[in-house]
Amino acid sequence: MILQLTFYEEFQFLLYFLIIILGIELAFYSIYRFYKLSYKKLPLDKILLAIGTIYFLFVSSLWVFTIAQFFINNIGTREILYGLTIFILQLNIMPLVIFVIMKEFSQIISLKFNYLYLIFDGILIILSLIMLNFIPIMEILIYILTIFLIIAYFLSILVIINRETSGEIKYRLTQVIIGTILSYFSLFFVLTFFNTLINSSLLDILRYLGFIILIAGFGLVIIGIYNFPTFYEFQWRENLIQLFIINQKKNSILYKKDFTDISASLKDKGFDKVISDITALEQLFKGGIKGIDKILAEISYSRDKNLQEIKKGEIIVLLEYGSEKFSHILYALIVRNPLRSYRVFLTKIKNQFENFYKELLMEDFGRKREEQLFKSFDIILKTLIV
Amino acid sequence: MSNILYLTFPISGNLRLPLLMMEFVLVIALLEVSIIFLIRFLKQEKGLRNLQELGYFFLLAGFGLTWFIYLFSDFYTPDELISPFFFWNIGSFRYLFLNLGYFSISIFSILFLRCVEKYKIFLFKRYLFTFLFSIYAILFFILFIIDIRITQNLTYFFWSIFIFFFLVYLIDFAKRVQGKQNLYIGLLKYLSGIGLTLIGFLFSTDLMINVFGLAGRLLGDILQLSGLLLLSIFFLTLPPFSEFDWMNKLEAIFLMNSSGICLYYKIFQEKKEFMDQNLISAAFSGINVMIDQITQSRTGISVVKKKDENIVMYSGNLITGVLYTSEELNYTKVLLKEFITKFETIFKRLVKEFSGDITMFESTEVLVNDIFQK
Repeated sequence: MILQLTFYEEFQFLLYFLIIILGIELAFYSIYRFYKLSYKKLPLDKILLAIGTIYFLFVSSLWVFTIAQFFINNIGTREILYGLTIFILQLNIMPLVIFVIMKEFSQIISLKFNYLYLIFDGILIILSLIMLNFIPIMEILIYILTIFLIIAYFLSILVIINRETSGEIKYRLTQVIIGTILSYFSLFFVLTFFNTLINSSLLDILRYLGFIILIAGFGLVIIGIYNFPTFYEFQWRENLIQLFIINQKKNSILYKKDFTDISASLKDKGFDKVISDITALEQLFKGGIKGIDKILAEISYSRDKNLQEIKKGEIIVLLEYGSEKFSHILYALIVRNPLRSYRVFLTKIKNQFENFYKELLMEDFGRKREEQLFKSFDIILKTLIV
Repeated sequence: MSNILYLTFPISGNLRLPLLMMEFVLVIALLEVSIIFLIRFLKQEKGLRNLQELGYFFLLAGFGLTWFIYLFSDFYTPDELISPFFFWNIGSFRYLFLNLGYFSISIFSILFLRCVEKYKIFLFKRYLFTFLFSIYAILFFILFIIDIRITQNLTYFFWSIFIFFFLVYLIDFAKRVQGKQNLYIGLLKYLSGIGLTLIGFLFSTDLMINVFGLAGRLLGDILQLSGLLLLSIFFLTLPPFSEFDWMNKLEAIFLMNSSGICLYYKIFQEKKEFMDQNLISAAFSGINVMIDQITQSRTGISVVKKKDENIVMYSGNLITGVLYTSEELNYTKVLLKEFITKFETIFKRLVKEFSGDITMFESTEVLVNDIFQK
């Protein structure tokens, strides 16, 4: 039976409704950001999809609770809906668990940890089904444990993120996770299952406090995912070796960058020969690549297809060609380990270089002048690596 | 037989909750979009802020607030006439809140028009519509004091001028976007957004509710939400209006180093006459030093105004840029700053090692064309 709401109940209903609208917007925005980044096909960008799905489930559980709280008169039906609210919450975290166990992320987080969480969650689901309508205090305990378990899971992810990431990604993910922890914490007050334990006036105060915490949490998550940066694979910086930008028409190097300061660990791994042999590499890029490209094109009649990658041992040379009128510009990134992130990084370099120097790239300067002019790309490159 | 329904307020019945939810969503959506505009305004650099973004914030926040008050008056206040009602002979709480709503939208519209008309003359005179709406607000207030019930009819006058202003705005916009295909598509979104919002709003007036009932109002709410969605997409993807004709207002640009030597100059308007660029550079170096002394600040933007002539100066770390414009526009200041920053990044070494050969900076031409003549 649908209840007629009093003025006060209607006001409270509107507050829940407000939270649900904001949550749906947050979920949509997160999925939209994922969609915008999806063309790069970077696996870790799926975190946005996971966040979006988590919030869809979050507001779904809140919506079920709201219906039970305001529109259902029958106590039995209401209890079932409360149970459903908790069940959705128990499933809520699954998108993140699926994300975390994927290959790229599981490098930094133990799978055992996730399985342990899943076992705990499974136990709570079974317990809540058994206890339904039998022992109210036990039911409440299961609800509290469910929310605690979710918060604990996010806290552990937060610790790992802080340890394993850096720069903008670390900052944004910290915001998102703290916002999500706040959102779940607010459920202690917003989902008023505990009205048998607390007197009603205090319950209302706690409920409004919960709304404030929840809105603050949503706010943090929105700020975190607003213009979310590309999520490169972990340790991608450590495997960067060198970058060359070459004018193939003149066989001249427009810009070169040695990343060995950033990737000092490479020296310890026996790659110092590659790093130190800069002159030889320069010569190779000035003319050698063009030569290899030409030979291969003749062999396979594929003149319209550009060389994309050269591999030798653990060393990979990724190649990218300038767009349209800048097709004579060659971008070569030398890395170790074939991560998908490097291709995205190299495309970003190309876009930034062409965008920033588009006027100058049309002109013909002496080699010395070129070196001076394009040296300023250091500043832009620094912002891309952070 | 008449089909007029004559509803009583507060709204009750089966449609009360769906209507309340729908209008609540509308209020939230309006306030959210307004906040986006406020953030966009605040994100602009101080001193270079374009008030149009703030104007849209006022407009949407005003509509959001008005809708919130309408929502309160229609769903929570009785329309029974009470005599006496505060200091009026007769009135009701619903009338009181409706009037608050009308008054708030008038005030916010004035703020919106003040911001928009600052950059553009619509029809004959600058601030014409701001003036008309101010008169309306004063008249409204006087009538409100006299009789709380008669102001509702005056709102038709408000909506007439408001729609007229948007038509003028639209025609002006259409003229500016000639030849810009993507903006024409935007214009279609804008038109359909305005159309849906207006039709939707019409369905939510007391007059139409009396004819079509609450189902008509629900339909009106849906139309308004769809219209708002289209308008939001249009406004949020729109570049500032000042971007459309700033190019015609550029006259010349001069670049000089710290010794006052002109490294580069370009005259945009051929009819504009200038003295020798080296004398100009030396003169501006002197002016710049004086301004720095007066303001006790070396960096940032300085503006020197004359009749029909504005001189904008921006000093970077190595270079000072001087831009002549026929009108003071914030957007050109942004461009000058962008240009100097980019120039300094690219030519840093050449400026530091400058030996007197200004041909080294000839390639600045492509940079100028890209930034100032795009």
